[in-house]
Amino acid sequence: MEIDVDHLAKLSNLSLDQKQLKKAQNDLSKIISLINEMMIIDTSNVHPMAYPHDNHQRLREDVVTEIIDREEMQKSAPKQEQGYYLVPKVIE
Amino acid sequence: MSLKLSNNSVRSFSTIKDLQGLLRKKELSSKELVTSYLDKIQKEDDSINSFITIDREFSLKQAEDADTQIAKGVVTPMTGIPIAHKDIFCTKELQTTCGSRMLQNFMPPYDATVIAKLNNSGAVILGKTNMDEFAMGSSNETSFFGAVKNPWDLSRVPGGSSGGSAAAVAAGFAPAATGTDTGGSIRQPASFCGLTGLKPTYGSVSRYGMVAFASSLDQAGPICRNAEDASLLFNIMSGFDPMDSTSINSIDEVAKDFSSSQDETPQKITIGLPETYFENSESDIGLVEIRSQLEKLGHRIVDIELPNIKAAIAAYYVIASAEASTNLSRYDGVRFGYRCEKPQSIEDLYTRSRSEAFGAEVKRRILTGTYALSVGYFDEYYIKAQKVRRLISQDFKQAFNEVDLILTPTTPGTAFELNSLIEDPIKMYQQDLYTVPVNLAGLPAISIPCGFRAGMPIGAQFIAPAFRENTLLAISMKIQEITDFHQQLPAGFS
Amino acid sequence: MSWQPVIGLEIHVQLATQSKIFSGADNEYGGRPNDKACAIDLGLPGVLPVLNENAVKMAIKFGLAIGAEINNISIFDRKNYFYPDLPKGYQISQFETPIVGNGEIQFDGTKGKKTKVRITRAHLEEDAGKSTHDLFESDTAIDLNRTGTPLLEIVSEPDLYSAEDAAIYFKTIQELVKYLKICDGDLSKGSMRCDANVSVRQIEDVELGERTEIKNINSFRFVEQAINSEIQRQIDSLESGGKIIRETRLYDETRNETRSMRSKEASQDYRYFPDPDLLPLHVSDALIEKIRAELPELPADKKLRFSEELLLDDYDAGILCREIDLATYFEEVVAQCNEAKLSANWIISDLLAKLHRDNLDIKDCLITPYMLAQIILKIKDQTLSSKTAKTLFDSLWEKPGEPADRIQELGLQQIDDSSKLSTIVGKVLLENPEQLEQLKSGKTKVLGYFVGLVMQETKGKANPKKVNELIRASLE
Repeated sequence: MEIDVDHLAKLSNLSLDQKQLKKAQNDLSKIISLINEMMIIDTSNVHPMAYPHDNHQRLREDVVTEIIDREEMQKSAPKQEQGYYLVPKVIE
Repeated sequence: MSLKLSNNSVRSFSTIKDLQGLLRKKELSSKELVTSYLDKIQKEDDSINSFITIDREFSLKQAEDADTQIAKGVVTPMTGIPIAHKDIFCTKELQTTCGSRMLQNFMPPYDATVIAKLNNSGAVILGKTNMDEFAMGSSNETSFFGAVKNPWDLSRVPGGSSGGSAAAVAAGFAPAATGTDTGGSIRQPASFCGLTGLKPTYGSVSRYGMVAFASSLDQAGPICRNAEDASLLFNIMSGFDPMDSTSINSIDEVAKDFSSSQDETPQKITIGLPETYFENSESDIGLVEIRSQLEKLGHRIVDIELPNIKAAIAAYYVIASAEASTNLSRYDGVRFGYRCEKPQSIEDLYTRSRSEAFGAEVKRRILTGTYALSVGYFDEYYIKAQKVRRLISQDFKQAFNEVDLILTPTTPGTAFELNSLIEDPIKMYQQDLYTVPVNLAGLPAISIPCGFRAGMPIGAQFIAPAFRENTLLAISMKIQEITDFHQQLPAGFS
Repeated sequence: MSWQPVIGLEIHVQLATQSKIFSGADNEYGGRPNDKACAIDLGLPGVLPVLNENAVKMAIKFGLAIGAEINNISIFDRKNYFYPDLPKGYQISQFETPIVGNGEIQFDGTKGKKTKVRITRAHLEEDAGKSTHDLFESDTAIDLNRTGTPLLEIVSEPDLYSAEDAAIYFKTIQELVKYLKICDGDLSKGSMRCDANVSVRQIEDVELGERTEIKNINSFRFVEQAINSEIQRQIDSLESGGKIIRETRLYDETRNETRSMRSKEASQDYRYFPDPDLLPLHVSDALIEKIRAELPELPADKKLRFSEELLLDDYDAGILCREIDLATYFEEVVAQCNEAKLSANWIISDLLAKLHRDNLDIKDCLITPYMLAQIILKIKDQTLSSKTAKTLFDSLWEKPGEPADRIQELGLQQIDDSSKLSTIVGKVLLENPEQLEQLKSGKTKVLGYFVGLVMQETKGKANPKKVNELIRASLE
């Protein structure tokens, strides 16, 4: 079964050339085969485990605790002007 | 271990405890100590490539501050002691790259909680160590900043993803280092480099400021020369953090201060060996040795079953890749990090920045993870993997009804050669055979040296129930009292 | 062909917490770009979310107010997509298990018809930032201040059958969230926005037609216009043999039409899965009951109280309860003058008329409850007649001030002084002998004529009752 690597690349915003696509296709097929083999164990009536422990979400008190230094936050910004982050114009 | 002050190289293999003694007795200052490490790094790290960032001025300033504290009589465990940090922890004053082009030159505006805790304890940062890109790897060959070599044999890998940290400690560039472990990334390099590496219980060490790979699996921990040092660092690094929702909030549950008393261990414990799990392992000789040491100490070894363990790697790869694929979506060239030249559109900005800045392994995992979460495959892969995860967790719970600890080899073999597995992701993934089940279940585990094979270190892994780090550390310390594998030094660097 | 439009709304309500939903940054509107975006809001490497307890409480309040089930356990999920104002490349939301389940809301719809809309669910999520496309020539400007503002997304069943009803439903929700004090309901600040799912079907059909989604409508007027224009577009298309494609559309108010969004919505795969950085949210029954006990009086209950305790008629009670601000204004006036009926009349007949004429909201009203209460009290104690009261009211509307002072300034006090009035009464009686004769001969209607004359003489300030008495007395 062919994995649509092109679609996956689009969803994850990666661009691969033909050669890379082919290799990714190959690699993914092997990985998925491995996964398929290993996961044939019976999991009927088993509840998925999304968290390693049984704790509940802790709630934070609703107070302002962050003092924001915009310049500090933006010191690694690739393109910034008048405090805005800039990206090529987006057409909706 | 006695120290000859005139012998620099012996000093550089000191443990934290040794250094505490030296500083306290004022036999040397922190500045002198840090200088000697920095000089050694400068002289010898070219062949290892264990550090990405060194800022001599910064480190010496920290050391000077520590000396001032020491002069005032401040006596905390880590004041003035140098430590190296895996470049996955955000440090406000040092660039944090995560081994990737994507974060080259990234200066975080905050310190990770782990960094802050160690800074507050007076530790001096020697530098940021090399690692597999975004912690994805088992050999430290995927780093944008070049592969790391194993000080025991420069043609071999140190393990990964905390390869830089392990190599630095093994080569005597630092007495200890921090690492992170998602599927074995502390334990496996510790094993390959003859060191002691602890992966704590999930939730006991804060993940705030630690660049995320797989959020439900990642944990930070120490890589040290021995279990005593590991215990000391674990106590400083661990603890509830309100900035991390998955951080454990129960004082009862966090391990007691172990370095002060070793009498906490129950005298005789039962250790389970899941034999069927590693019938093909090359690491058996190490295990034979440990077994005999344990029996000498009066502990009981029994056979146990972990029936679903063989599916662990598959479940791990699905879950880790799925979580990673979304954790890495924030790297888009907009607010920080790498941005491609002259982007033509927003789509171009995204795809080119990400494609140019991520390495092959990272891309592979993102694609795998996206696949596992995508419509039509979600139940078959992601949900299935989480179900397998529960079975594995139950296997461990079941086993711990009968035994106090579980013993396995840390890795299937000793350090493999550079470039031998990098083209074969499947073989590379199988390196994590014994380590990943632990992360899936969120349990603590330690790797300690237990022998050598053809001159290369072998590691043994102990796994404990949640929050029983003290048992792991106690048994490891006891073994290290009666063996000396952890005291051997690599020829080229000692 | 007889078409029936079918509409469902997804309303996004910004919760009025102090700090953001997952970080301790300031949640207040405004400020310089990116001044209120902390590291967690920016999605910098290594940051983690921690949930704001007040956001949870507000969600529960809303759920209780619509009679919904509150789920004891709910999960936060990642909704994955790329957009420059979505820093992490995913939005933390709730997918399969939201905090609030099925509820419903009733209101007076088109032509006052009793309308009920079922609410499928309401869930918590974080807001994204803002993209502005016209600030810079070739770039889009991203401001992430709004990132991390807590949102309550309220999803209705397709129970609305006209654009007008949709707008009324939207307004009803706005009033409810203001009543509950969980949102300021200010659409101009973006505190509430809605997306509309619109389809049409033949009136006798049971199945729903294919729907389109109109995104980000942010005013009541546009809700109605946008939906109507989309309904028309769909009908036109179907009647000329076309098919409706499920897609997302944007409303263009200058052209009064919707157009298809350029995004790849159709192939969008959000890959929802539980966010591993947040643990399952457990809400105890005890907490739910505590919040229930602390709920403010809801519109329906308030209306009942106004009718039964304050003895207002149903219609008046209804008008006053439609908006929390109006109800509160009314209650404050009554608190000061203790005249429910009079207060209601003044507000409904006079105040609302002026507000409507000047296109103002009650919160912009310059006549304060104190001022209105004073007017009413002065009527009660006969300082003012209903006519002079109206004069005072109009004057205060133009220029607010202290009523007692204004009465002095304008000389509006009712003339009560018997001797003064007697003089005037005497005068008008003398000046109108014919009418006086008529009065003496029993034509009591003429009394009004004389009262009117006295009122004229006194410029409306005479106490009519007194005048009446004096005229009668002079006949004896």
